[in-house]
Order: sequence, then structure tokens, then C-alpha cells
Amino acid sequence: MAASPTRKRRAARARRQGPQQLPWRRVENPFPPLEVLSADQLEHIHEASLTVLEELGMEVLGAEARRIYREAGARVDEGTRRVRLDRALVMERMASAPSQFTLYSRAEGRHIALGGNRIAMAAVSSPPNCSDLDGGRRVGSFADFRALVRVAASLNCVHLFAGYPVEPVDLPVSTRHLDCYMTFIADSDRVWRTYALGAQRSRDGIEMNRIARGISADEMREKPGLITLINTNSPLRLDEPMSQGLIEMARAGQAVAITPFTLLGAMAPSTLAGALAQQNAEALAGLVLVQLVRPGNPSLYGGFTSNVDMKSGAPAFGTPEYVKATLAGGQLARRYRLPFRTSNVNASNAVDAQAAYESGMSLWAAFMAHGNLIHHGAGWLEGGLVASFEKMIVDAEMIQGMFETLRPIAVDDDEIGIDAMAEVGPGGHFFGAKHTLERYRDAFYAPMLSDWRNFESWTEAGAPDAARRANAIWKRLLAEFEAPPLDAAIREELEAYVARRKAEGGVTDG
Amino acid sequence: MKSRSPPAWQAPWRQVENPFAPLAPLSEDELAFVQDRSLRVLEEIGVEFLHEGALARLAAAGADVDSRRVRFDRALIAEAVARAPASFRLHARNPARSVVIGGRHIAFCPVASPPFARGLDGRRREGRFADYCDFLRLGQSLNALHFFGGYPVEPTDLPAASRHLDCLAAFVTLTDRAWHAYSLGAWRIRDAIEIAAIGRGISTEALKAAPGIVSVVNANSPLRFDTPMLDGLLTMAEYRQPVIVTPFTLAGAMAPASLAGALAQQNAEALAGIALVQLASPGAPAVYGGFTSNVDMKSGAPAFGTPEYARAALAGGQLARLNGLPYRSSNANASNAVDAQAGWESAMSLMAAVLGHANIVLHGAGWLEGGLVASFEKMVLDARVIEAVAVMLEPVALDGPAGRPAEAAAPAGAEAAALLAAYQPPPLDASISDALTAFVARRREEIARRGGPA
Repeated sequence: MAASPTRKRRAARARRQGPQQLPWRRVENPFPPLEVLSADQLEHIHEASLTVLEELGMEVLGAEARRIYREAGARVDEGTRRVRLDRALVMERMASAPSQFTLYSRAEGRHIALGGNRIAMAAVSSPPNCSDLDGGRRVGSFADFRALVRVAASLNCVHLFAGYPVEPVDLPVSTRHLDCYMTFIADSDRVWRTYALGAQRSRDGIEMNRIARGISADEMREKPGLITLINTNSPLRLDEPMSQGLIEMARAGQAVAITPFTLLGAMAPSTLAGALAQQNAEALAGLVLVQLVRPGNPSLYGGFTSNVDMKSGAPAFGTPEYVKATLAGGQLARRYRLPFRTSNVNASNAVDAQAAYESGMSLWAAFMAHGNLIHHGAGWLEGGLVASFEKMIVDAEMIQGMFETLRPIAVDDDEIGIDAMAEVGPGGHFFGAKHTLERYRDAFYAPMLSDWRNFESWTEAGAPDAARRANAIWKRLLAEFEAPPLDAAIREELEAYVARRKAEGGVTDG
Repeated sequence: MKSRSPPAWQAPWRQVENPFAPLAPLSEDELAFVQDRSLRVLEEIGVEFLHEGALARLAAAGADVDSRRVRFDRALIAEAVARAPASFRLHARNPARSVVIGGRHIAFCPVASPPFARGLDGRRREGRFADYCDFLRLGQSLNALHFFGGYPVEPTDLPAASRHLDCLAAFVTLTDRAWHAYSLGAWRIRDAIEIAAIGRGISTEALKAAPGIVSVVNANSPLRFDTPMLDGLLTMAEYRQPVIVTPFTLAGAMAPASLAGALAQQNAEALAGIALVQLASPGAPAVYGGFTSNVDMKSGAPAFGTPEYARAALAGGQLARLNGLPYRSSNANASNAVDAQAGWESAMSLMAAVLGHANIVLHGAGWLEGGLVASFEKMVLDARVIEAVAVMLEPVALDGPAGRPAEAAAPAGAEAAALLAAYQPPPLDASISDALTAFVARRREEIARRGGPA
């Protein structure tokens, strides 16, 4: 049979569009969250963390941050740099944090809403190394950075960049952020992140984001386009570059996520109650600072509590303790009506069954905890030490599958097809049934990476495992990458900004 | 010399209960709608039962029997299914390994029925009895696994007519857990009943009150039950051993090319099979099995661990609970290798089973290639994840330690080899062992003499 014009068009489009994937879309979670803590346990942790803030307090290394806390009525000991916050102060300030907000991209269709039952998926962030099957494991370079940005930007299920997909170690530290931000803008149309490492880096990010969107500083405050992720220096310390970045971002109205890094038995007590109380105390201290700088500023509650490997002391990921802490973290975030940030983690050294299994467990936990921002969604390997090109494709397949799993089941008489069952009858088959022919094209999820050929055909094809097939997919995405359109005048203005800042020597505040 | 100590991740054998509310993709109205339409399928289209005894039972109970086609009044289905217990105990020969099936309990099983094994050398080959025994030893060594839901691999080197004797006797001698017998004719089930009773040192009469074997009965979807399966179902029911009725509803092939259609058909077939169990033996334990997935519409290949599979597994749990029945699901994947695909498809299947409140997770550990291959490496990998799931399901004690410190595990293949090297058979009374040997010898001879089923 000759190919119909429609079929030819479809084939041509398929060639242009690269590997089969689901379209970009906003995702909402229809399921109620899973809860590991009883209401009493939740209140217990909440109260314990408020006691921590009242009695122990946080060590705040930034003088400006201490000043802001002090002016709001916190007890500040300048000798020990300890900041103690009364319960009433904490709860009063937390009340101004919005429960949902939108981050605006330079492209109309790429804004993301955070909060409620919405889910936004971020690419992997901040590994010092990257790897692929051809080039092996290596320290990240700017070339790797650009390639990862382009692959991630080609994946419809990746909603934003919540950090550098790999650290471009070959670029000078003082100007690295300028090249990275320029790449985010030029090579993608997604929302992106600035690193809160001092005020200048944050200001550069804010200014470049403003220019890219062609808006004023006031509009920028009204319609935030950036996010930063603050890690407290657990236990109970907030360092100066982080607090300066936080203050700059909040002043400019940009979103701030506070994520304590509370590893059980290392930077936090070994009981879940203790670790969660500490996580909560640190998160609240940071979130209160955001609200003191700018009441109503968008912010997220971050959870990253896990256990450590008993031999190496390295963080363990995708463990049951991690899952429980994630589910509890979601409960705490909802306790304060804040969007929740969690992650897609694993501890495997290769793109193997363990990596996918652990990531699968992390993703289910993130979804069931009602994570709103899923950090490290695509590409993370080796407990975050490596950004893997192949893992990014494996994760994209899993993420698409999870998104589809959230879709409601269509239930009506057309779908059920009792007539088809009568037509086929006992012992028959549905391959040729009218009901089947009407819907076979898009009845089911079509995978990007899963290979369902039988063993013989698969073996004849060279027995490519999932990592090998993922390798072919990311290379194709990279080869076919086309940068989203960017206004020439805006590009020029950005390039001039970067050139000027480089001439000034980039960052001089740390 | 390698250490013989058990892997650090392995916790003592225990059965966990699910503390979470089940995930429910169907609203109450949608659930009622699917149930209603499946009852309409049973009323209007009916199901074929290729078994005279089953047809006679169903006709006697008031079903409309037209040749082999049986149509059920919805009241008859409701009344029959309501007799099935919501929960029951499945007894192992070691009482400490008995499990509860139903409620919030979960029992995980090793893979069942693949014709091929992937050995520790990574090679794929036809299953042999030596592999079979090794899979039993490995399963017995893994505390995350609760009972054997079938032969972990088909021992194709044994004669088909007496294979079940060797396999079932090995369940008794190499393991101390409960096990599964195949519904391939009444005589095989009768042999299994005898072996189960001998293994536990009780009479077959006592076995009726304290069931110890399960059998999966697959509908020959769409809407048909075949003769050997029904023979097995009726014999299991006679001895009041639990039957797991599992329609094989692959959407687009043996069921409509839609999730709702495949679920409605699955529900119709499962309820018809369970109604037959209850009409034959009121109150006998029965389990609602869900195995709905889809086929790849281009190649016809079955797909597992897909979004459709996961949603069907979750909705299947809703249908089982609506009908007051324990629920069986699986840990399935379609990968040809122990690779990332095997990992994520399994994670999808396993989490859907657990969050859908499956009471039995068949094929829990070791399944590859859509069930064509049993893998030692995958069995250990799956057992580790199941153990993690068990810890995840334990209640949070705020003031106790949050959990065990993690420890990087050895490669799964190496760990399988170490567990097999360290394996010790569980104690078995000499008189039981002798009685078992004598029974197997007698039956083997009878089968040989008659050249087939006795």
C-alpha cells in the first residue's frame, strides 16, 4: 500500500522532531499526598523545631542578615553570631509567604507554576563531573555544560534549570556565572537558577534575566523569573555568601528555596524526629529571613534529609529512610502552606539497573510527597558527583512515564467497549476490532527508550542495553538541536552586559 | 574464602503491613461504573467454561448455561463472591514463615514460570532442574521473599508428566515457605495436596482448615477458562486451598485497546472465576488477580511497567477491595537485560503494586524479558528493593533511630553467588523426608506405568 500524504507528512515531522517524546505540558498531581507522620507527630516536630530556634538559635555569619533579624525583634548575640527567634515571630513572618506562585520564562509557553498540586521537573544541578559512554567520566567543562543544557532543553519533560547541569570547571570562577547564564538564555527558553554565592552573582543573574525578558526591574519584581536554592550549613548555620544571595534575590522579588542538608547521624541527629526538627528549624530560619527582606516573596520549603553510608560517610540516596524523610518533608511544607522542593536521587556509579531502580523509588516518593519542584530530575548519578548524558535520557523516560501515570483513566461506554467484547467473543482477539482500530495510534504511552523487541531481534540488533540506546538518543537530540529564537537587540544587550562585567573582573565579593 | 555472613541490607524475615491509604486513580463513581459494566458483560456476553463439571455446577447454581457459554445474573455473582473471605492465613511448613493474605498485609514472591534462566555467568539458557533448585535456594536465602508463587524457572530437562513431583518435593526439602501448585489438571493438584500435607505432617483433611498452597488460575482471555485450569480450580476449591484468579487482559490483544475496557473485562473474568470457586466450595479462600497491561500497538509485544500498567495495577486494587477480596499484582518488566530499563519498569510495577495495596506481589524478584527469563542477579536486586520498601512501610518511631546506616551493597550477581554458597537447607524431620521420598517414588512409577496422567 502506498503511503498516504498524511503518513508522509507525519514521517517527515517525526524525522525533524527527533526521538518520540510527549509534548511539553504543565503537570498536576491528582493523588492525595502520602503521609508518614501522624498529625500529632507533625505537631511534635513543628514545636520541637520552634524550641530549637528559640533556645539554640542559628549561627548567622552574614552581618547584614543578622541586622535584618535583629531589627525584626530576634535576639542576636554579635559575639557568637547566634540568632534566636521567638515562636510568635517565626509564625507571624511565615504567614506572609505565598502558597503558590509562577516563575516567568522569556518564552510565553514556558512559565512554570509552583505550589498546590503542580509538579515542575528540573535538570540535574551542580555535579563537578560528567560522563557519557563515549567520553567516559571527566571533570565538567563549558563544552559539557553547553551540551547538557542543549540536551535537557530538547527534552519536553524538563521544565527548568535549577542549577548548572555540570560545573564548567575550565571557566574562571569570577566570570563563570556570566557565561553560564548567557547559555541558559541563548540555548534554552526555560526558567533558570542563579547561585546564591554572594550579592554580585545574584545581581548579575537578575539583570541578565531582566534584559532577556525585555522588562523593567519593577516588572521583574512583579513577575519573578529566577530561582535560587539556599543550603543551610547544617547543623544550624547560615553562611555569608548564601545569606547575601538570599537577600539580593528576595529584594528583587525572585524565588528562594531553603534546603537544609541534614544527613542523619552526620550533620543532624540520628533519630528521624531529631533530623526533621533540625531540618525544619533551619528551613524556617531561612524562610523567615526571606519574608523579612520582602514580605510575600516567593519561596519554597526544601527537604534533603537522608542517611549516610556507614563505611564511607557519604550520603546514601533512594534509601527507605530518604523516602520517609521526603514524605515527612512534604507534610511539613504543607504545614506552612509552602511549595515543596525535593529531588530525584540515586547512589549508583553507572547507568544501570540500580540507578534506575533507586531513581524510580525517589521519583515515586517525590510525587507522593507532593513535591512541587523536583530538583535533579534528569541526569544525576553517583550521589550527585556526576551528570550523566545517558542518565538524563533514562530519567526523561521515567519522568514521562510518571507524568502519564498521573493522568486520569477515561471511563465511559466508548472506552469500555462492551460491543467490542461481544464482537470478539470468548477466545478471540482484539487486534482487528473496530474499537481497536479507532484508537490504536495513541491508545497507550509510546516509550522513548524502552525496547520491547523479543530477545532474538534485540540480540540480532547487537543487544543494545538501555544505556547504549540512551547514548544514541542524546546524540541525536544534540545534533538536531536548534536554539529557541532570541531577539537580536536583546542578544546584543546581553552580550554587551557580559563583556562589560568581564572587563570589570566579574565577581569581587567572593 | 568469601565471607558467609548475610548481606548487611538483609533484615530478619517478616511480613509488613501497609500504613498508607491506597492510591486510587478511579473516583468512586468511575469505580462503580466499571463494576457495573463488568457485571453487564457477565449478564449479556457471558464467559466460556471449557469444563463439564464447572458447567454443571454453574447451571445448578442458577447461571444461564448455553452450551459452554455461561451468563451470570448480577445477584448470583454478588452472592457468590461475598462468600469469599477478605483475608486468610497461608500456612508454611515452618509456622514462623506463614503469611497473612489480605487486609494491609503484603507478601512478596520470587519470579514464577519462565522457560529460560539467565545464569550467574550471564548466559541465557533453557531452564534446568539444577537451576530450579538454585532459585529455590536463593529464594529461601532472601528474607524479603515470603512464599513461592510458582516454579522460579521451568525445569525443561525433566519429563513433563512427573516434573511436578520433583518440583513440589523440592519446595518442601529446600525451603520452609508456602508454595504454589499449577492448575494443569486435577491430578497434579491432588499430588500437590498430598505433598503439602506430608511436608507439614498433617492430614489432607487438616490441610483444608489450614491452607498451605496457592494456585494461579489464568483466564484464557477474552472471556474463557480452559479445561486444565478449571480442573485445577475445582480441585483446589474442594480442598479449600486459595485460588488466585488472574485474567490475562493485555489491552489491544486479549482485551479492548483502552484501560477502562481492559479493566472491565479483567473484573468480569476474575469475578466469574471466583464465583465458581465459591459455588463449588463456599467460603474457600480466593484472591483477585490483576495482570492488565497493554501491547505495543506496532509490534504486538506485551509491555510492562508502563504508565498504563501502573494505573491498571492501582485500579485493580480498587476493584478487588470493592468486591471484598485480597489482591494479587506483580513486579514486571519487559527488558532483555538487567539494565536501566529493567530497573525503571520494575520500580513502576513494584510501587504501583505496593501503593495499590496488593496483598500478593507475584514475580516479585527475578523476572526479566516479560517473564521469559528468570535471573539470579535480578532476583537479588529486586529483593534489595523489596527490603527497602518494607522499611519504608514500617511506622515512623520519632524517638528511635531513623533506620540502619546504609552500606554500599556488593554487585547483585556476586551476592547471589555468595548466598548460594552459604545456603543451608532448613531442618526437615527425617520421617517427613522419608514419607515424601516414598510418595514421589510411588507416584512417579504410577505415572510412568500409565504413560501420563493418573
